Amino acid sequence: MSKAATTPVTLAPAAAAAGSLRRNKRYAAVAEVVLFLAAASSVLITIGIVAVLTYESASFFEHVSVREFLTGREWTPLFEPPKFGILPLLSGTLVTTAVALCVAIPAGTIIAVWLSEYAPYKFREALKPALELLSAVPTVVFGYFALQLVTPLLQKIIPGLPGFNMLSAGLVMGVMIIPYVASLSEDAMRAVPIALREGAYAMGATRVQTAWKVVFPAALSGISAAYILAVARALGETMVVAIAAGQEPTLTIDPRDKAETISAFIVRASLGDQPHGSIGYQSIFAAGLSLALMTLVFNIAGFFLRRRFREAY
Amino acid sequence: MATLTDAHISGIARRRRIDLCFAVAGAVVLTLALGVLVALVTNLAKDGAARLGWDFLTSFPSRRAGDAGVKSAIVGTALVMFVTACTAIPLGIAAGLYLEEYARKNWFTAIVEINIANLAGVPSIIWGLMALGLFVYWMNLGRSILTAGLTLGLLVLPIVIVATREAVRAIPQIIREASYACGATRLQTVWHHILPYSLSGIITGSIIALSRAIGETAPLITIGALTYIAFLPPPPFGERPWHYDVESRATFDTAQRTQPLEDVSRDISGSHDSPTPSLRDGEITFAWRLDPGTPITQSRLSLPLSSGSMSLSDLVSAIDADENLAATISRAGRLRITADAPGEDPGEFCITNDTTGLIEAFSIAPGGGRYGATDWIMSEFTVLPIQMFNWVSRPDSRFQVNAAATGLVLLTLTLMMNGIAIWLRYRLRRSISW
Amino acid sequence: MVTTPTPSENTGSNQMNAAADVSPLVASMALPQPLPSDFEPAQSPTIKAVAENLHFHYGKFHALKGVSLPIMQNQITALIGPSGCGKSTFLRCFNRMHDLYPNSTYQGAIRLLPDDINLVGPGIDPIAVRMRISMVFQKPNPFPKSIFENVAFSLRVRGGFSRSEISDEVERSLRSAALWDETKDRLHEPANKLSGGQQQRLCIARSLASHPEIILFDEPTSALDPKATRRIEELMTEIKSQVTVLVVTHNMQQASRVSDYTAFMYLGELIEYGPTAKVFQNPANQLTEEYISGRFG
Repeated sequence: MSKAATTPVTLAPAAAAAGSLRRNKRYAAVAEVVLFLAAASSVLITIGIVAVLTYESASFFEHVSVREFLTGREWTPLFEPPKFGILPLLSGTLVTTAVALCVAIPAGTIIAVWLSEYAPYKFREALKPALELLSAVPTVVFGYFALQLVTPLLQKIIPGLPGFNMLSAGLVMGVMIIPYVASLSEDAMRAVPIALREGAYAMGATRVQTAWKVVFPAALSGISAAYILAVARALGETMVVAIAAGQEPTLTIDPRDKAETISAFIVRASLGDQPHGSIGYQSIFAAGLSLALMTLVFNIAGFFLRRRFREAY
Repeated sequence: MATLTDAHISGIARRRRIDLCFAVAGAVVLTLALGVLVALVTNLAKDGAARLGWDFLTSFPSRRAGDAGVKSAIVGTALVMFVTACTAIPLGIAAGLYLEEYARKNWFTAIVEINIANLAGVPSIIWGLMALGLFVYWMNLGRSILTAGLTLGLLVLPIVIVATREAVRAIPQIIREASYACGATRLQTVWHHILPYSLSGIITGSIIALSRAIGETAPLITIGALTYIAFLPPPPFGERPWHYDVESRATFDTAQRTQPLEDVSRDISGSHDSPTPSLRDGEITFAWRLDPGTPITQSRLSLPLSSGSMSLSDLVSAIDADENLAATISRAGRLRITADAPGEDPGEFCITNDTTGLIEAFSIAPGGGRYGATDWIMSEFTVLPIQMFNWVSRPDSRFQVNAAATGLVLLTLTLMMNGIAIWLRYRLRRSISW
Repeated sequence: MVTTPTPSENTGSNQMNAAADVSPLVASMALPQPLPSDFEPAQSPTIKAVAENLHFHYGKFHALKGVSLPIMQNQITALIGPSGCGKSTFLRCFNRMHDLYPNSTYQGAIRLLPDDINLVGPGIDPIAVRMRISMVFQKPNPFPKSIFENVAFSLRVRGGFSRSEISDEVERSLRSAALWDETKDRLHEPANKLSGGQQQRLCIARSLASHPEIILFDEPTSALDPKATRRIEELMTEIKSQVTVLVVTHNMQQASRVSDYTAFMYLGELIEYGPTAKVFQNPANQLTEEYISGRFG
């Protein structure tokens, strides 16, 4: 009996072909391997990104000290004499990001609260796709918009504003990120149990009180994840700043100035076509590595915050 | 005392007013945000609609704004999108299926999940750097359609994966159990049930992914997509023309944004000591002749010397503007001029200029025969957003009009794709009830 | 191609073995018990499968605690008991549905006769098990495909059937499930368009198509109205000439109406097993009596 019980069963009902199960299982095993490799490829991609950035940056830092890179106040890697201080690019990146967040966070939050707490169902179903369309517009088109419409408008308000400036680029970038903030925050607020809202209403709260004093705090970890991911988006955004902010590294915190971000520098240097292995070529990767590290920190923080709010409900 | 006093009553009125204020404020902010979308579209339409016509869609770029078009960019976009779709969609579906249907909960799966979430947040410019280091230099794929398609394919891969996972997750477990209870293997369950039932969700996600890829500019600039392409990639099995390839002896300093024209002409001629070619009416004139014996083509190229200097890309575009010639700047900073001649072997390829006569004679890279089925994939290319970026970064306002027209084409494509995706999702939600 | 001995080839010897082997455990349960006069299977039933000291764990949770129970061939065996008593868990051991989820461990045996295979033993392929033992679920779960494709699925899974074989089999199965007349003109319409009762009969047809030896019913009527329930119950009685039936039910009337044998489970243990009439009219165990009379559950 025990022998019979341990013999592998290759049986199939009398009507079926005997070998089909064996064959099916072979296909299934092959398919599993193929699908596994596909999933594993995402890890390979990450390794590829990390390897390229660190390898080229390592060559860069053989020529340039980390100290000079982090504290130098001039960035002219493509000219003679080359200077490799990332601070001007950093200031450009941070100022445009700050301007963008000043637009995106308040507007995105208000829209999220409004959509989640105020808008009638049908309205919301119609407006969310419309917001999605806003985020679908290619960034290069936003760049054109910043340069050709927003900057001239701003010049009427702020006399003496140069044709290229961080203000216009940052504002447009902010509008670009609004849908992102709004939809992630709205998801977080919708995940708040209805009982919490009913509790607030039962105490005589108005909608605005319920929204801001009950729903918003309850959804805070999800909403802060949205903000943090928005920061990462703004830091890495390229085309709007490359087109509208002026491509000149300037160490300044005045958004009215023209300046260059890390990403815009990479674009400018790439257009000039750096010979492989030159210091100019390597400087692109060093700049890219700094940008990647900055966004990585925010992305990871956002990932865990999001996961936490998903677990909460 | 917990009685309702008059103060409370008026408090209610006040709170209601605040409530109303916020309701209005929210609507206003939302309207403003959507108003930007409208403003953006109308602005583009106002600037570019007049330029948008059949000619614009079917002309190669030109240094004369009025003659320029987006033919090569449209073809390039279509081909790059094809490669992108072939990369991202199968890979994304496979990875998504693995994670939902196969993966056990272990450290590897956890790493893959965090990894995919992080990949989705990697700035697109970083993808470009990865592609430059990995595809262009390490794998030697060149600045080809293949490189671009792979880059964008990997860039949008997380979107397809997430869409696949959401669509698969929406299928109730009871359907899987029914399939397994019939004796199906996991593969049969996936193939006969999971995949078909999640297909519309996956298609929606894939369209959104492609619409994102179609507008991506930065990573393609990084890998060195050309801004001026006056030829189409070789069609599969198309006739291979005779092809000439001339490289200037001198190296241009590509970091300089502009080049003195005198240097340019000297560099091209290759004779550094000779005086600049013909200076007439403020123009340098080059005569380019293919085959001195029986001229097939003779082209004349004028550069406005009055401006004193011009950017390399303008120079390239000026040469590209000639229907027989194409120019690129090599990595080493050399100007490369290529010419294609149809039909029989035309013999020599000469470059002459008016004053110094014959400059150099080459007979390089003879062609003939037919292209292979996939030669196009290694071809150089440009795409719509790159073309638009090139035009938008020119000071000449006539090019801004071209940029606007290109933007309209691009916007139409992306909004259309998103519209289809939104519609599909809406239909999906109505039609499927488990 | 591997040639496997078909069941008919080894039936003779194995049946003998099995008969000898149907262990002291089962013998000790004194089965078949003396049948009441109003109880009839025409001939004394043979044993189709037998669970022997079956334990099952979900992770650390001990869901089945040594269940031993025979399943009679071409009879309907009903599993009853309060929610959480392990009756569905027990049922799903028979076609190894638990293997779909991690951390499931079986101990003991379910032996399928006459070839005497331990369904939950090591080295046994769950897919092979499911090819012989199919299942009908609590909620009708037709695939979102056509009626025809739903029934044909288990044949497609096996492969190697001609078109005409498949369509013959689909017709036979739909007839057996009393669904042929209602659906013969719309075989290629989506199955979701059928009513709930029809969907459940379709699921039965789907299970029948592969000529299973046992069909497991997991509360098959709990999502249906009384009329549709009645149809399913009739159907179960009709198909038992072809197949052995094991049914989990919440509904005491259903168990008494339909089944030939009844097993009462409580907290992962088998409390009582016997011919249905006996269990309902003269339960041996106090708990059984309380449950049947509705005092808890």
